[in-house]
Amino acid sequence: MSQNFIQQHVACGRSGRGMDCLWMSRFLSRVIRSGTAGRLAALLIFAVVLLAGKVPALAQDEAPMDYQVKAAFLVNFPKYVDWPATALPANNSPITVAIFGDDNVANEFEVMISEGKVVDGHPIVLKRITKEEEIGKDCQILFIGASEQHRTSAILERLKGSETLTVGESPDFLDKGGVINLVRQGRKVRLQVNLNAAKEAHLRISSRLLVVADVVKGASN
Amino acid sequence: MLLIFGVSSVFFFGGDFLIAASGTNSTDVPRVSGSTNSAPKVGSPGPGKGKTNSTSIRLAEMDIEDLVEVEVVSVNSLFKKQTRLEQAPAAATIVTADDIRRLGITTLPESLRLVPGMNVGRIDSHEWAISARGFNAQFANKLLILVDGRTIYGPAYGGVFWGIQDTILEDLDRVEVIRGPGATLWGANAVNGVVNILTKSARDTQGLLVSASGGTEDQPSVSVRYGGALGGAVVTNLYYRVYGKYFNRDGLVTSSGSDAQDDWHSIQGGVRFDWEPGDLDRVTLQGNYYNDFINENENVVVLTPPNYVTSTNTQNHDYGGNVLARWTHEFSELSSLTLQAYFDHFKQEQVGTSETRDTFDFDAQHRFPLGTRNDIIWGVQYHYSAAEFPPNFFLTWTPPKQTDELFSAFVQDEITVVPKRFTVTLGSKFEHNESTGFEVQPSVRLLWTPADKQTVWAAVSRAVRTPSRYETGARVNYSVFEVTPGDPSNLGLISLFGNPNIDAEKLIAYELGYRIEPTKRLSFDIAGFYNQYDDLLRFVPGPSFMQGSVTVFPQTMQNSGSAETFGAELSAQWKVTDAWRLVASYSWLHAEVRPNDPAFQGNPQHQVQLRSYLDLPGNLELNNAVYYVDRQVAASGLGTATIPAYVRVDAGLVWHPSKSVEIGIWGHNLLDDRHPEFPSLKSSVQTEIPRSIVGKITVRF
Repeated sequence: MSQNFIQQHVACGRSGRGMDCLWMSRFLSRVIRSGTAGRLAALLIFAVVLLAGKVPALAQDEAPMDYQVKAAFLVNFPKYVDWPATALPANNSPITVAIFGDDNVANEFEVMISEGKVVDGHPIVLKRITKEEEIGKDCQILFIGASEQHRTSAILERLKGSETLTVGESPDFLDKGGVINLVRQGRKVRLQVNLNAAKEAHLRISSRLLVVADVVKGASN
Repeated sequence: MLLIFGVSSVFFFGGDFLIAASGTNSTDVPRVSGSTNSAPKVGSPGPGKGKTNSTSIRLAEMDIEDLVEVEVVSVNSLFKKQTRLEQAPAAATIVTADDIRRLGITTLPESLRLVPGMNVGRIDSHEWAISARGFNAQFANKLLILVDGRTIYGPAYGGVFWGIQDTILEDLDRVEVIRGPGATLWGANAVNGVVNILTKSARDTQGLLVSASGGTEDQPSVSVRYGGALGGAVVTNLYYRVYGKYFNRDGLVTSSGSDAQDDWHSIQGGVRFDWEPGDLDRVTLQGNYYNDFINENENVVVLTPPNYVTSTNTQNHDYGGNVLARWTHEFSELSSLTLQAYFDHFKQEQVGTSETRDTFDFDAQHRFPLGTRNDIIWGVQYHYSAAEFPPNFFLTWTPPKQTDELFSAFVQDEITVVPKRFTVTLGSKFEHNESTGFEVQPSVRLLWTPADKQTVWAAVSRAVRTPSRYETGARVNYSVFEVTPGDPSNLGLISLFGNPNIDAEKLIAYELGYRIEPTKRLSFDIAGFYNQYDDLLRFVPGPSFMQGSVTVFPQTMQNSGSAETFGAELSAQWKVTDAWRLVASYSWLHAEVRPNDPAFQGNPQHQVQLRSYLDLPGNLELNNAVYYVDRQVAASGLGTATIPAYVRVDAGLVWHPSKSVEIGIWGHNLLDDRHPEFPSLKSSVQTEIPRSIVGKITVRF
């Protein structure tokens, strides 16, 4: 047994048990090394395993990839955004989500809506964009992936006056005039909103979304 | 008894620090089973829809308040990017903080026991032999190990001085492990595997944590950590933590059951800052300082009769510290730049002499997409290391002071051939070191995803191990004997000589792996390998010569060995119920070494482990583990020693009386009085691992 000063000070002196506790750990050490106690303890523990019946739920970590979370945001946004009647003329007009420059997000989105997603009677549909020219004013949501961020300014310029919720994932997306930016912060994907851009597109964004956004630029109505 | 004893000391410390901590917010919620954790769990079973893509469906159904809190897969440091293990083109494993907590693991090296195929042999209280895929030894030199990106592989002997590697285990985030070569990204010595031990960001360790433990081997130990945030007009999102740890481990036992007198106690402290000035920048600054007092049994050769060797029990005093700074800037999801620099200083004593080393390392890496199909990472590194070795009769170094510089660069391209189905990863490390010059370490990895929840991968890689300073410039006076028995005037001396002209050891590795998740609750992972080693280093006897009146029988380090190893590692995870999880693994290894030298041993043929994590009612957890390690021959101070096969059974009961308190008691090696795990190169005392019990209480405020 070590005669180390700190050990005695910390373990015994401070606990107010003096030499008593040193003696105790020596004793226990002897009991355990003798073998019998250990075997008994092991048997007891295994017995508990066998007898354990009802058990509470356990949460298992199966962390998703960030593109999965981004796709989920895109599926979710229609619940928190109101488009003007001109954008969704009929009660069952589809909400078209165009995805440009990120196949992972598009593939994931496709899976998420594969069993049908409807928000207030409007079915959500995916439109994959492979060339910039295919982007039109006919989509309600446009996602611009990081790989196409150099085209962001041009695309947003072209969509000016349209009723499109533009969503990006690049640092200066809001400054360029995008509406919602998805930003990874630590291990989470967080939201940034540009209300001026939303206003220009005649979109009303729910306060539930604004409350959880980290950055809200511009004044609300 | 232990618990009472633990509680009383914790209450003292807890009370003491409560005053200091009052009024602060704590966000470090312990992962109590059940629903107390605030972060939404997307993978947890619920009202089922499709069998596959359940994570996607669940995410799509979440409300926005939950989505912003979902934690995504973090960047895997070993792949240098965000990588899901199920989709990695390598034999990868992560030991989680939860594994370590549940099993009552109290040291970093013991956490590696959970890795399939990893051979972890405890030599004595403070030394471990750890290797994957063979060649395990006290200074196992084919496994590269890092802590938070700082290498702890010892350039003097190879291997790791585990006696000076520690941290607060509650602040450990995870241990990332790749079995098989990792040299393309990590460089020399990542031959049989690479390990990165990662601590949590200061952002995730807010509040006060006090942990006290005690037991039959782990004598009273206390860890205290406080984490906070610094906010102000100038600086925002700056988080910090400071910690201190004292531990004391009792000596293990000898083969006759008496105290091996290898007590080890240590004081360590440190600080870590994590600053997130914007969405795209992360700055980490961390520092650690430690002082270790280690009692060690050592045999030191002398020229005095009658035994010509002194067996001592010496208290060695090791100390050191390190400072690391890292800055990461994300240009986009697919593009980032990381700059890292660290300085490390340590002094380590053994066999009557010491090693004092200063290391400086600078590392830069840049990742960017090229077109839509190429994901490129490249980087450069400068590594400087200077060490001093005072000589004694037993061990001398030529030169006694030496400086080594290493320059390296790597580039790797992950090419998407068929999106979501087939990728090819090509890359190579190019490095220049002072002992063997220029080294190239390329690899090709293929990843095929034939169906959802199934992956097949294959790889061919080249890796090298550069010689340690011991192999290039040390002389060990290994053994003294009387040439004519009974005549002390005519002595013979067997000396081992390092050789500055040796080349690096080379490996060509062929690997193949398959993973399948047949149901949401069951997954299998199998990895097979065939390794060809060349230019392996070993001591070769040479002609004797006279040194004064002593006849020297020299053995000189030469590249004169080769080996082939075959093996497979199979692991399975089964979530029997929502509250019960089983993890099992089996590994098989066959080594053909030429010649059959002590340096090429440490190849146990079979290893098995089974772990059970069970959540019981009343906030209790019952965690069990069984390990089987086959008989193995390993290098010892006397040449080789045979370690018999052993079974080790661990069991632990953990109770969370409240959200902030965790009390656990564990029994380790329960079914066996004692067994040896690995021989020592430094002592003839064979230390054995006794049955032990440890209790621990952890309180978070």
